[in-house]
Amino acid sequence: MEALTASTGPVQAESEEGKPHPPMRLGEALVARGLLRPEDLDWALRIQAQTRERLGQILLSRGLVRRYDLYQTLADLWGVPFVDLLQEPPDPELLHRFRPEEILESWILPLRETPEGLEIATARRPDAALLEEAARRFGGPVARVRATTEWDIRRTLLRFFRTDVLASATYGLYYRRPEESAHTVFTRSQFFAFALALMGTLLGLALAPRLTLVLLNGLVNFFFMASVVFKFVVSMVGARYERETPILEEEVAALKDEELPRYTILVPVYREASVIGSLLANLKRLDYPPEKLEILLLIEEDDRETLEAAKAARPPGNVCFILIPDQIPKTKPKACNVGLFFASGDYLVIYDAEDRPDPDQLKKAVLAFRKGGPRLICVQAALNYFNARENFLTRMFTLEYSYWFDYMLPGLYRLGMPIPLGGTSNHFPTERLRELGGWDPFNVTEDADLGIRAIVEGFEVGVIPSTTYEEANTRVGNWIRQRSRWIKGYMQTALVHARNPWRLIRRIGLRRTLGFFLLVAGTPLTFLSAPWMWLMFAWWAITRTHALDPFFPPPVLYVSLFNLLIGNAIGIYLNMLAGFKRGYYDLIPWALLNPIYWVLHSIAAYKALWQLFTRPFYWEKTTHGLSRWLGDIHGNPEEGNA
Amino acid sequence: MSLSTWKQATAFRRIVWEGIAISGLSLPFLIVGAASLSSGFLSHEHAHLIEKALLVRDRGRLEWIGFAYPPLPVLTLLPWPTPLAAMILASVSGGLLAWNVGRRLQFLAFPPWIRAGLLLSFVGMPTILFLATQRFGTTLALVLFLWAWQAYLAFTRHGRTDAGFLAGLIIGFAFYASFYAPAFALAFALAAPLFAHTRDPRHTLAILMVLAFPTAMTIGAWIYLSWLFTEQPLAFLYDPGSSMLIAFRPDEAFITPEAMAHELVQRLLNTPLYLGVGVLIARLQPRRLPAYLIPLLLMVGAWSMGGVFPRELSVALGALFALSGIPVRTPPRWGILVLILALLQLGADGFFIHYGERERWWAALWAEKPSTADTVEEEIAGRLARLPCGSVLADDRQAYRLIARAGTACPFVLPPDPIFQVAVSRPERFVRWIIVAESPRGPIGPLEARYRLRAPPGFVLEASWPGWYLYRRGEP
Repeated sequence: MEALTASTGPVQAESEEGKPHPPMRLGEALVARGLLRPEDLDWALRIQAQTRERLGQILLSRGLVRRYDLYQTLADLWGVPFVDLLQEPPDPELLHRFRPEEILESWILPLRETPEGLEIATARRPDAALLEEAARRFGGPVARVRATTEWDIRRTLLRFFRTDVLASATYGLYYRRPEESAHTVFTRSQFFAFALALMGTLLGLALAPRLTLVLLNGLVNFFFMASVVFKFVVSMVGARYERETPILEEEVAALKDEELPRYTILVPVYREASVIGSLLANLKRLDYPPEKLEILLLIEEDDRETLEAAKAARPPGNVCFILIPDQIPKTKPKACNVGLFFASGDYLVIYDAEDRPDPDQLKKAVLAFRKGGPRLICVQAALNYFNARENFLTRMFTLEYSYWFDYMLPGLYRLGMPIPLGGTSNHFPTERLRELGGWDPFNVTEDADLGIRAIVEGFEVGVIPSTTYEEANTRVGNWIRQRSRWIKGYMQTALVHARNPWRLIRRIGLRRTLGFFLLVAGTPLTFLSAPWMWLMFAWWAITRTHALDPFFPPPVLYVSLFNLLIGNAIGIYLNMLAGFKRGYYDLIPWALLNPIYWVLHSIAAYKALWQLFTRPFYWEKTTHGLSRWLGDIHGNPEEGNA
Repeated sequence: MSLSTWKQATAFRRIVWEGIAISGLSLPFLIVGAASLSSGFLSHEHAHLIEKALLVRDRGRLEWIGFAYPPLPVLTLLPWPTPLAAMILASVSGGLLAWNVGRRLQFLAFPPWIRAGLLLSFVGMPTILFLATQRFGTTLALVLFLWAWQAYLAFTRHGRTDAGFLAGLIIGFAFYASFYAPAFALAFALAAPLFAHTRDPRHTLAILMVLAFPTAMTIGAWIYLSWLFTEQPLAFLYDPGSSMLIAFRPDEAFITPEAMAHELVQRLLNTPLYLGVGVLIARLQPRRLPAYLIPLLLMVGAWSMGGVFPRELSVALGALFALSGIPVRTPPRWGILVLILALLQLGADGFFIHYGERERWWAALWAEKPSTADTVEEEIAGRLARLPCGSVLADDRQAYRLIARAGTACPFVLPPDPIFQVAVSRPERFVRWIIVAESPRGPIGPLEARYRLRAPPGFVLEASWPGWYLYRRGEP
């Protein structure tokens, strides 16, 4: 972004002797107008020497000057009038002749046509190059230039291109690659296949009920076993490389601020007014030059409360509010796509409102991308919980997350398997993410889908040794809502990528395809099938009935015994693994209670299945800010886990 | 050649070389095993395993494994339940064991000829030769113990979490090969705090859980399976036909402290290398000493609880712990001393060979013709093998050697068969022959109790051999 150039303006003041004064600099002008204290200017100049960033950007991002004042001053220095786009909006007809992406790219907004030429507004220094660029982009000479802020340009674009931005955010992927969008829950061939399977089962039950039930039982049990073995192998591989860190602390320390790229942070929020304050505090802790950060707070249009809270928090100038147009589907990925549309950073990351990322996370991501090849599209940081010890649910959730992010994902990465991304802390090179099509707003685990899509498109997904601390669900109902969404999303993802299994195998290979099915399809299937197995076992154990004997011929019996005795034990054992990397030793005995936790998973899985048919795109909102520990922990989130 | 292809080729070459090394190290065991087989010798353990594998195979249902403890060697023998297969598997396990020892020796700064000498002294020990040819189950358990031990060290010393979990899993899994595995698991778990540099009791508890949980689960699973298939959840503890603990008791349960101390001293003298390496560890790595003493503690523990700890197991464990435990920092000049101790151990092991089954095996190895007992067993087995399926009533707690030599369980009606009890009561209605041991080993079963001293009603004595009677149903 060229917007904030602290340079001389085109108009130079004259001294009393008639000689021109040396051109006034931005800092001096702000100090002269009483908008900036001299000591703040000195400090900002020192920062500028380190980061080589523009002074205006430094002042804005550090909250030393108001955006309006800065651009007013810049307008004067540039010798052009300032325009308030709210009061003087551009000509809609003219604006719609151009693509909004083009305007965003150049930060030049065509205002209106005059007989002499175009009138434009810009947040950049209006030098000859800019005029030439404007003439080239908009097809005519520039007659008049006016200064504005980049904030106003964004807001104007969203106002005038609301439909386009919304359509792109919502249907962009669907229009470009309909086969990769969850907009269609079941394709015709899938519907036909499921109908055929259902009819075949019914027919089998009518003609050969015993054989049919044996086959079903066998299928479920074999799948369950394969899933257990797969998870065991992957997590052992993850554990094997536990101590091999791809990014060293010394490398992070050696990074120079001036070398760092611009980073966009997307924070989708909805009805989360209560955590806005802590969100801004947590983002402030990031060890990254604020002037190189662009924080886009994605607030839903109907969520006035959060917007007001955000305004009241008086965030620094690098925080920008983007109001997401209120339209179905009202999902996080849709908001993120709008954010992606406006993102101007070289890299981009998503955080949830209650997230507490490790301060050096962005730098580690930058290093990971530098080390990774050109196909590396995303690096995922580990997620964990700051309120791990709040109650039973948070303990189990922490064990599960620690296992998943500390062992399972690194294992998948090492084995070159598709990685379903976690909900937040995914870092992308912005352009490559756009190339991939952004998130699927119809998929309620858009992150997992994106990870798989990236692999299918030939990209790579990696992991970085950094953690973002979140708030673990403390209430069962809230947990089930969240989990049912995740499981429904996994179902959607499995359905989307299984539309053409042969093509999937061709593109990512048989091994990865199997890995994908065992992980993404396997997770919901395991939780859906488990209650039936528990029920059968309980019925048999209580009544010692022989009614089930015919349905357990030797091979099925052996596999089901393996699942009962070894599979469940491995499930518990692997969860014990979770506590080691982070030293959560006191949580390890809780792994023994996993079977209770699995019951909750199964409840959520059935809810997800029901919603897949009734409300496939419905976003089960997780309520945040419920933790008692929210107010207690400031600074280091691991304090809560001590 | 691309990098990945090169890596694959290197990995393949490594696997091939390792395969060759393991085969080479298995060769001495195969030669000795073949010599034992040609002399007609069949160990109790192999007979037991083969008989159980035949039972599972011929009845056609894997759940009969519930009658066979330890199940892992039985399952391994299932495709080919013969004395030759048992010998080959034992030899390969022995080769694996030796290869693991050799790999550990490579880390030492000793000259290559000393390392080679140490490895050969291990392979040449009569006890190791015996185990690696006649005790497939025990050798398999030793391989698992050694792997678990190596993983355990990686976990406790280098903090490798995956190794800790693997150690727990391997030692838990080893319960299906040896009854002694839980004791090892417990010992590993209890010794872990000495290794792991932690003073956090929560960390200690976590390590204990990780090392003990798989064993608890494998024992629980086995109890459940035994209950499910035999309705006797703890049968593997007391059933003479199923328990390694009692079936092969080598008359060495020590009750008095004096007897225990005497045996302990004798066994320590039998393993001078273990003693010598113990001194080295005490001097160079004293923190590791408690873990090094695990075999000794287990032995004393087993005796104190009235159990047994076979001499060959203690000798083998001593040799394994010693050769795997020589501190890496041991100065090269001490290598010759260690080698002398190893050669002394080789001699001591040969000198103290005269006890139990090992003595009979040693004698058979050098004998020019098979022993009378083996010839008789072969003769009975050959005769029974030709009889129709389900026609011979027998109790495999006594007749397992005959069934193993017969190479089929088909002709026999055995205790796990549902009709066994009723067939013992009314044999004339169910079987045509009954084979009865004259002097049963261990607890007497219902068959021997009834018909050891008199012929079953309606049956006549068809043939008798030293120790065995074969009755035939009299034709009406």
